[in-house]
Amino acid sequence: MKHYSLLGLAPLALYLGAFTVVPVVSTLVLSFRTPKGEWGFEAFHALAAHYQFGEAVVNTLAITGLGLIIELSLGLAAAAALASRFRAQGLVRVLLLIPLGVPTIVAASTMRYVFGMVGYLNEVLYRLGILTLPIDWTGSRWLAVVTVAMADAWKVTPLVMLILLAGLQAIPRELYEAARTDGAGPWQQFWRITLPLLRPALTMAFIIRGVDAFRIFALPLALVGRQLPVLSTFAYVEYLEYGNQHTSAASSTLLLVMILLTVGAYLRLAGPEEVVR
Amino acid sequence: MKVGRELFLMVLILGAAGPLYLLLKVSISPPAEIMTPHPLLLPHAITWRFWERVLASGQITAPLWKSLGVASGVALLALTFAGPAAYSLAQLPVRWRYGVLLSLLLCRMLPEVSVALPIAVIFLRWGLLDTALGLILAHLTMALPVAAWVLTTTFSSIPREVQEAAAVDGCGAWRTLTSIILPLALPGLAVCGLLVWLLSWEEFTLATYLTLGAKTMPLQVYYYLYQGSWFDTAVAATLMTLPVLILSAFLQRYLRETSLAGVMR
Amino acid sequence: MQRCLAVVWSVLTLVLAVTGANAQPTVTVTMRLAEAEWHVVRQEVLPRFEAVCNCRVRAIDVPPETLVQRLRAMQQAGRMEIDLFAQDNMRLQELIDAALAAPFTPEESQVEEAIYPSLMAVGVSAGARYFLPFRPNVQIAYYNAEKFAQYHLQPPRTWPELLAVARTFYEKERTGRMLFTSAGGAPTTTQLYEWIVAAGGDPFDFAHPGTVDTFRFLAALRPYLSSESRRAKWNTTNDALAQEVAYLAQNWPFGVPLLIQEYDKTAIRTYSGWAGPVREAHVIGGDVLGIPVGAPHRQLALALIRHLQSQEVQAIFANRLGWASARSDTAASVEAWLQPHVAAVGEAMRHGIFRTNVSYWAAYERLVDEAVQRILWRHEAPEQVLPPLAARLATLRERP
Repeated sequence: MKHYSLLGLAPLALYLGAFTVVPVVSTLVLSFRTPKGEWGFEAFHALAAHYQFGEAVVNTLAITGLGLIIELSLGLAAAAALASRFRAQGLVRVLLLIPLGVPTIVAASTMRYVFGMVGYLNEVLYRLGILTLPIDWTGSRWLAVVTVAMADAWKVTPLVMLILLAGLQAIPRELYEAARTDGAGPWQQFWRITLPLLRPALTMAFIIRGVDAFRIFALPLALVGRQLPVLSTFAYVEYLEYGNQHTSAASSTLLLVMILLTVGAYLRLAGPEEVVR
Repeated sequence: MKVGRELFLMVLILGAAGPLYLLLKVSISPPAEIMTPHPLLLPHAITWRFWERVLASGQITAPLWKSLGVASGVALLALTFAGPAAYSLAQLPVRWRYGVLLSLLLCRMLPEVSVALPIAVIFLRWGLLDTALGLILAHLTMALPVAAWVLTTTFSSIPREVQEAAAVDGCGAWRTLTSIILPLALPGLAVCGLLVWLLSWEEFTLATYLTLGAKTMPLQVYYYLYQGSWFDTAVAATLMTLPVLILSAFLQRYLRETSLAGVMR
Repeated sequence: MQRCLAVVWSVLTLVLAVTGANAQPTVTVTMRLAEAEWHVVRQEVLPRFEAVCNCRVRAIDVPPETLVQRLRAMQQAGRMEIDLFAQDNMRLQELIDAALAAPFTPEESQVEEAIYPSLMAVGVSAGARYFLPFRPNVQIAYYNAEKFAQYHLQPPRTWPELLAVARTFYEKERTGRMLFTSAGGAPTTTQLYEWIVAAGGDPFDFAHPGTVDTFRFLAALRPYLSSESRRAKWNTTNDALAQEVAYLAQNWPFGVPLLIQEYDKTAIRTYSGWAGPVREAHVIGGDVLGIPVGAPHRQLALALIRHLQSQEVQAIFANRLGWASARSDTAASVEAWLQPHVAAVGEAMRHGIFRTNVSYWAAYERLVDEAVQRILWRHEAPEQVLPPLAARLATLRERP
């Protein structure tokens, strides 16, 4: 069985090794070189000196954190609601998966139509009598962070829901029945049975989502513009608009480090038990 | 409790489907209803001229087929290659498992703009510009890590006792795999397939580098967004969502509740 | 025997003719055009070329940002698939810096006399010519005539009038209705460049009194600007005008067919724009033609360049699309609905200015970006923002 294990892994590891190593190494190398070809931290200094850099780091952390909280809790609630059988279960599942199918650029533009000054959200609130003047949902910085996090969560929560649903369904029924005969209420069942057994799925959802969440880029740009910078914005703008590969790579490296730290911290604190030990 | 749940689900459905409804509405509305400071919520007049125009333009069929082909190819190949790898990974001790998986994910931890060019150059050098094969291979670099993650978690969540019980019953390794493990892993496989398909379906950056004359759907939508009108974009975007709905409708039956009770006799 | 040979000969000729016809070379050209513009190019301009060159033309839409990426990728892979590109004349520096554009020989650089000599300047760098003229372009001012009439306002022609109009809209509607393209990048730099020149300032000197005046004026205008300005660039400006979020904005003429024909916004009119304290100024943009290094069909590409610059084709662009012509001998007979807008473009061209090509343009854009963002959207005072930026800009200028 041991030999089988390595054999199954080999083709995948080889293919990815070839394609992972090249971009990662090239990015790291670029970020530590200057345009003149010497080694140095110049790119990082230039990045840190940018007047929007501190904001970008904070914005990235805020949008990611808020987004993950919304996605995980809403995704879990939706998965729980869908876990047991009921009529039209299939139809509901398909409808809830719709946001996944809308490509990111279209989602970004559609969100402008929802959250814009003359957008549908303002229109609905106006008709309900809650508003008289339209709200600028992306006007102030923190309101914009919340709006962007919500718009991102819209697109991505179905994914989290799917992963958690598959995880929930793997938990054997007998455990719940045994707990009920022991006199445990629904909340205790959730805390003692569901959450611990869901840990692998939660970890997977967190990591798959977290990695992508840190890289968010198109949505803030389309909804707010340059006033809500995130780290990916630097990578993009520096490379494609100003042609500076080094500062672009530096912000990518920074992002990589942030993601690794966060994922590592999560695995340590809330990951499956064996990992923690 | 039941009413609470149904209400909750209805709110979710409204939130999830709302923006798609808006897109559809834009694609069939006359400009006067949309290009106004007070847009209407329900459709009043319906016009099909934007749908006719986009479908007749000859710019939609080829990208649609190309994207469909590439996404399906990526999904199948990812399942095929990541499956055995994930099964092996699931047998490894936990620390090793997460170590390998994280290193596979390293590439995804960089913004697309840093990663796309080095990868694309490799395939361009092999003469794969404008080919479906080139795109499939390029998308696999993104899809395989995700597939490995999902499938490893799926396989490792199947309790050891199930495999051991099957061995006790006298099943060989292959029979264990196909008649015991695979059915239990089906929800995970379905989720993985769907995920990877979606990843490739809406991928944009690598497609920019690896296509010139033969666009994919996301590139066509991007074109309409910046150089066409919002109505063309809405038509193309709605078209992009339809295959996703069909695919998820097809796959969702594999997400049915599987009970281990019957297995653990 | 002779008859037999004749039959073989004719069969051979036929076969060769057929296969020869199928082996037509294909020249690949990339441009960035709106959907309506592509229609005219594919139906009228390119078939004319295919008829005379005995070749096929593959025309592909590539936006300026992605053109550089694609050329770079192809160059690194050693396989250039593009023969000719039309590129925004504000995004040329990267192509030169990355050695992606091939220089023209002095013979190849000769153009017909009718082509405006002023259009030739932008294609030269360090003594070599990399680009040839294709079409000049200039921004015009769009305004919502209904809203202006509603509040008894006239389209502004000077800065004080502009401020008054913006303030009136703000006071009547409690929200800003004028757009200043401040989404960053080329759109912002272009708009600011012409405002600075209109105020008699030096765009490359943030300490120049005219430049400082421009920023002060922007700061004064700030309360009356639409918040949509933060996202405003060339395509979102059209959206804002269409949805009546803004009633006054500057943009390139490609918005005209979109707003008036496609979106039915017949209330939208255009004119050349307003003058600053010193003069009226509009940056002449547009596209130029270049051949990438390693292009497989260079001769065909050169022939296509001549074709696109010819009198016949420039007349098609002018009359069917309302484009300003690159030649002085274009006979204009524009369709009726286009005429007022073509007049606006012509008027704006009369006040046209060319951007000075500097080697530090990318770094300059970054400074402009920072100045505009901080003054307009962080509400910082020009007196505090400009001096340090002026110092950094001065350092850039002094570098060799």
